[in-house]
Amino acid sequence: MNKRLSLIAALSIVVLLTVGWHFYRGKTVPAGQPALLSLTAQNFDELRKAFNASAGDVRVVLLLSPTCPTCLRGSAAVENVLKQNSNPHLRVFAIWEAMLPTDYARPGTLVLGRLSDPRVAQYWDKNHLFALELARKLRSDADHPQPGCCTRDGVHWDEIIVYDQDARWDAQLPRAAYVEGPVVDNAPELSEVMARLLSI
Amino acid sequence: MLRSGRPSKVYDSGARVRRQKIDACPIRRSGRLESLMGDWKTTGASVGAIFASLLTLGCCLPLPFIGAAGVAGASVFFAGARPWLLGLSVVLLGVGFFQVYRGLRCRTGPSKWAIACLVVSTLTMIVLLLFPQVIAVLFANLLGGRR
Repeated sequence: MNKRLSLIAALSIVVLLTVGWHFYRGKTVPAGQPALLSLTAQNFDELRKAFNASAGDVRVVLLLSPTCPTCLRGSAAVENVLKQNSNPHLRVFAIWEAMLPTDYARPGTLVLGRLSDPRVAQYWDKNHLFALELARKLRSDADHPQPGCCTRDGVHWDEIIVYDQDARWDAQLPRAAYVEGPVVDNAPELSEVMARLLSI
Repeated sequence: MLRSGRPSKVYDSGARVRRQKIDACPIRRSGRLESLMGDWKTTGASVGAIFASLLTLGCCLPLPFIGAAGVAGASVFFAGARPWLLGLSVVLLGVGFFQVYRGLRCRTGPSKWAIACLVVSTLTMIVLLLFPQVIAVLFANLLGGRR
């Protein structure tokens, strides 16, 4: 009986690891997107450069957690918005943050594949560098649009931030045209804001 | 055994061993009801472990009973409680395994149902802890976030 149980347990573990490997093999982003970049204090400037390199485009920043189902629903909602708007002057920076205890690993292929549009660039921000930068901007600029949701321990997550074509990130983040969360509930409004900014 | 008219040494020894086993098994000593209670403790701990581990995803899920209870800020509560819920799951699994271990020392052992529950809850926990992104994607798809 014990031998049989041990065998079943061992087999179950092997099956689970195989399934896990299947889903987690590599952290590959969908075709046409730049490779997933893990942000650190040393390379955080690369995000700023990428942001400024697409000046002239409407830029959308998404703050998401890879193990929060609501955030994942938000990523699917944004993917649908992108499908409806094929304007090439649109860039999306999807920043996956470690917000929950289960966010111990970088987003896997399964999660990254939910934003498959080639206009998207995906980042893993374990240390909330962008969220902290955003919080600094919101504190220092009283006229900046304030999100009605969502922070945890002062860290912003599950939010959409939209910047217009003229926005430039220098010493501080530029003023956003739109900030709101949670992503899944505000995708329709994102669609309207994008259309309005792109028509200018 | 007593056909020959002599008391059997083997029988005496067996009875002693059985009595020792029953003495070492508190849940069997007092009868059938208590033994059933023992199985329910194992099953309850296993089901509790599954429930607690599923609640760790509740930080972001619109759980119906929370809405019914009208608990404001439940999502914030669950996000904050995730580490505790994971810990609770592990403790409940430990209780379940202890119950089974105690049952193995008994004459009849734990029921297959209790062991099945424990195996399922252990597998659920392993999947939730090792592959949280897969589970989150499944939940997101179930809740209508399928691409």
